[in-house]
Amino acid sequence: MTYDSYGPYIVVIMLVTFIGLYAWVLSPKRTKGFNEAANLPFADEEKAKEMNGDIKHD
Amino acid sequence: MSETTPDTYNYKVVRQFAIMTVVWGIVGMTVGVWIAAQLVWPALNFDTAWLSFGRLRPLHTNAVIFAFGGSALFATSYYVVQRTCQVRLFAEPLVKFTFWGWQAVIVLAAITLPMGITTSKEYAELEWPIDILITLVWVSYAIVFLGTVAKRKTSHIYVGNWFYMAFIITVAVLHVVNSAAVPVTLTKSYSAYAGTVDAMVQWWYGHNAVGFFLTAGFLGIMYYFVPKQAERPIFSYRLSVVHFWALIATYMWAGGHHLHYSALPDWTQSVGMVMSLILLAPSWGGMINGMMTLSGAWHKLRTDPVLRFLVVSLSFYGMSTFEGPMMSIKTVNALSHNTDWTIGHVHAGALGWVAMISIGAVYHMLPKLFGKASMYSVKLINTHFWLATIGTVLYIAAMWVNGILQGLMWRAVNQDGTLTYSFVEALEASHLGYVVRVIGGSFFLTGMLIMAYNTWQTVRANSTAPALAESAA
Repeated sequence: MTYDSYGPYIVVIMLVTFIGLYAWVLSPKRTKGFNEAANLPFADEEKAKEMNGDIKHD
Repeated sequence: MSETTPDTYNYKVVRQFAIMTVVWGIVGMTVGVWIAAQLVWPALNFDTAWLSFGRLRPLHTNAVIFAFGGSALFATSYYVVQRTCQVRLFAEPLVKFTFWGWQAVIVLAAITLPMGITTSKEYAELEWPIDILITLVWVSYAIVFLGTVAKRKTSHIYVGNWFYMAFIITVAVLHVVNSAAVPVTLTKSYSAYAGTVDAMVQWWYGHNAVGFFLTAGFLGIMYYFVPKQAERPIFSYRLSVVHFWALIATYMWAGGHHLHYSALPDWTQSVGMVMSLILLAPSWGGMINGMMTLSGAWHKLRTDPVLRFLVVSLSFYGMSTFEGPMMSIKTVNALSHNTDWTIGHVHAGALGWVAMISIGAVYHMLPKLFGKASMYSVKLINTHFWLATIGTVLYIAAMWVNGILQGLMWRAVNQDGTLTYSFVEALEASHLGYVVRVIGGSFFLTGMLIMAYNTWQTVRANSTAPALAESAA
């Protein structure tokens, strides 16, 4: 198989992958996990000191 | 939160790399200012081969990218991975080897490059024995970092660590493939590739060195230190996931733009151009994500010069990732290629983005690493910030003017088809820009010297910097 024959499909595969990534990222199921992950930089310090209430969640 | 206290983290290696970041920054930037001065006063090479521009220029690039930038990446990655995984670094002996091995690579580079020992591949000039040492250090680094992530006590792998992992793995692949060579003697080898293929491999390496060493690695820094210094989580974690995958998927294909109008097949050049244009989207997505983290906390910029370093670095990142795609358009590149515009573009990224985010991260870490509440002098951090910012602006503005001037003079033709200007005329016209560049570079270097003083006053025995109240950092 040469590039001439499979070349055009590369774009399609990339587009599908990209849409799949968006679907995965935007799924509401992941909100909790993403919030936990986003707070990891603060998680290893005392909660009282760092998590002072006004920390914004995604 | 966790039984892991900061005392159980390996901070020793982080301290070592953080200090060396400052040291190598000064060394690399001094060489930079010197060779910039050589372009104004050519006599500064003292008619000595090993002080000539051609030999010192790779010393400058290697010192600032791999010694200064590399030390910053090692220091921050070891710090971030421990704190976000809440475990001590994996494989202690390998950790030590990465520090001493990397310093050995730098010293060997500082010896061989002025001697004229070079593979002649840009940003991969070091000869094969040093390349092997780099590979050993890098594989150890990968084992340490991935091993630490694997034994993490947290359920998620923080996005900063994803960027660090992409940087480590990709740089390993790039280095091994591009450095493949046939050794002839201990100090001489020939590339395993020939002709156009060699050029394409070199710029696949070269551009991804920018993309993964100087971008993905430093985005790892951004994703930890911007939220941490601003004391709020990243604006959108979802955006950071899209940012990560889009960036690493796109960067790989952009290298062809370094070889526009060369013997490289036309379609390959076009792929390089199109992928470079697409790259604007993930780059700006990441920049916006970092910037918006400050929404509602912009007032902190007024009082916190460390945060200012981090945020202004993002502005320069946004600027140079707009400029880059623009310069990759073939018709723009026809004007900009081989001119000082390219050098200006590189320094907008290197001084404005890479150096400033590293400096901000080091200022953030140093007090915590040495048990202090803050740096010895916050005022001096502010002075450093303004010297760095003004220095960078002077540098890139001078190179824009020079670059466009050179591009226009080189392409100007008379009615009869002869060139309007000789090369020397364009060089003469560039003189003022070169003077401004030396001034800008000196500003930036002066800032680094102030940082060294501030660092010394913070870390030395009997330092008067305010001590941390509790033992926890």
